[in-house]
Amino acid sequence: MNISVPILYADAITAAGITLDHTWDAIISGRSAIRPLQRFPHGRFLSDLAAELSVEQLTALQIGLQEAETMLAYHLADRLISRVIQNESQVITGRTALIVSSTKADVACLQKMNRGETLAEPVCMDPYRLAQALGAKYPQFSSTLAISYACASGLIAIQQATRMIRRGEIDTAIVVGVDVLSEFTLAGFSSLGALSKRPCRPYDTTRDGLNLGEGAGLVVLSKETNPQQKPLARIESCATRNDATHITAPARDGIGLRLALNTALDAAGWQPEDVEFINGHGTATVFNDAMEGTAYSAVFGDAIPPLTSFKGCIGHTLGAAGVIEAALCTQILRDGMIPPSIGFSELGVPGKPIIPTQPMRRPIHKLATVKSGFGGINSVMLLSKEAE
Amino acid sequence: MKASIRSYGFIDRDYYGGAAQQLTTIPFGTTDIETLLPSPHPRFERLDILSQYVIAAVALTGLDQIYSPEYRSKMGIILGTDTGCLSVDNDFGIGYAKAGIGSPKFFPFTLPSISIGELTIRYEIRGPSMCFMGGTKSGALVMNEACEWIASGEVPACLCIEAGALRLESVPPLQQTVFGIGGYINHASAILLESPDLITSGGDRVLGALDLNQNAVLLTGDLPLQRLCRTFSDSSRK
Repeated sequence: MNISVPILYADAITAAGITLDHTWDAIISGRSAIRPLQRFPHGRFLSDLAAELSVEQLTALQIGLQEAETMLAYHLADRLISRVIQNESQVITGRTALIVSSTKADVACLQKMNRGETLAEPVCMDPYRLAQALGAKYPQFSSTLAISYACASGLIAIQQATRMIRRGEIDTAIVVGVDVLSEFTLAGFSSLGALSKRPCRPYDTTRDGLNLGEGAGLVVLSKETNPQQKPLARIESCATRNDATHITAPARDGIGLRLALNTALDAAGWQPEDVEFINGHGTATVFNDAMEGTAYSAVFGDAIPPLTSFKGCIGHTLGAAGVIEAALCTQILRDGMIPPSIGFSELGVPGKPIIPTQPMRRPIHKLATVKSGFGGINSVMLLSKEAE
Repeated sequence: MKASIRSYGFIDRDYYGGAAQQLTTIPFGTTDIETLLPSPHPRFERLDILSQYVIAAVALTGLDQIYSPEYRSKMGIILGTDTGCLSVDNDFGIGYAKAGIGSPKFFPFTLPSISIGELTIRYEIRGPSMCFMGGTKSGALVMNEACEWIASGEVPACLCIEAGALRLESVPPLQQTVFGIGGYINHASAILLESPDLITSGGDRVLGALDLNQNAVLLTGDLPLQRLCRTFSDSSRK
């Protein structure tokens, strides 16, 4: 039997706001955080636009510019963990695992080391070392785990936390997803020709690429809740499936996402028509968004639920996206508000999804969040609102 | 919590072999492990070193001879790695530092999970998958998780892989010191686990069984996949 797992707490730091509420406000207000790069040279990459944390935001987070060069992922994750421990410690009970998702952590360390420069500790050049460093700082965690699975890392980390709680291995999971801008990732996505020179336009007919973003998200999952604690949402099911088609391009027929959606719906005991909203992956690359439209059409027919991508506001935060966007989904359930898909104006994907350009006030009780990534991975999580 | 072991494959600096091929000493000076594969893998020479080791170990399990494409499409894959993509991270980083642009050839391989994508394409596997970076506990994490997936009915069978591979010439001395990887031995181990409930016919060959308790991950700090493969290899030599 599939037992739902409550999300007790959620938080995020993005270029749109250094708290979850601030980020949510920016999205609802239609304010994009995609802007010219500040910490990196212009003209070196395919695009000079990204959803980058500003100097003011870093200052507010008490992160110096020098620290941001090689330790930003560590500090962002640390700030989120520190907040939950200081402000909401009652949600952390029993055996607690820290699960970290990231694609490249603080990979900028390597460049410095290649130049022979010594670095301040901890050196978190990959997700494993990042998880170890955070685990060493916080004795509250009985175990740590690092998951690195391309742009689906965040959702897959939440799925893993859900499995571990259901199996009784742990009582609480703190899932932190983090990825930061670096010359490494900017150069990488430039080399693939995947960056847009304009603010990205998910699902739009004029879309031509993504904008990278940076940030961190955190969700706390628990085995059970006490009567004083109303969950922000319940995880009804998760599923991960593979395209088995191409290393960097999604399957044109959307087979992996279709399989993941159907598996998740079956596991939750939902019908397609039960889903009231989809938080899509929506990177604004030509092929990803088309693949999503094809998969949604196959699963939902002509009745695709309202579909929004957050990438037009916070950029593509890679291994953090699944966690940040799951945190934002709890706001949708809380406020009964479908957020606009910033950057969208004219439908350019298969199927007939409703893609809002303005916030829509509508009670949402059941939603899906979707992430896909290189290697042909597709991940889906179904969330429900706690009964009143 | 039990699972049947259907096959295994193994490669390190000195030996390679598996259910599909008897344990063999790697000839001294061999640098091209493609020559050790039972059958060619498309674009092998373009893959990063971690993917090459992973693919070699899985090829040595003879996976495509054991299961039909339809069965494989439902299988799971779990990879655990201690090195991740350190070599290709450096190759990519040095490339763009010198040339001012990154290489699209290297960039996809800066994801440790990319070898799973290669395997899903090669063997048409569409089931659930996972990629852990677990240091020296990577193998234990993989085995524990695969047993759980099988026990819960999430998958009928699971391809378990533990691998670590570096090109030391791609890892500057300072990194080798800080990360403690001088003298690292490249290796990959693959074990094919299946639900014991599904072994029904006399023709299904089972090499052994696993019975892990839930705390195996927390208690085990070695590389059980590698050890298991060595055990099978040694018995096949005798």
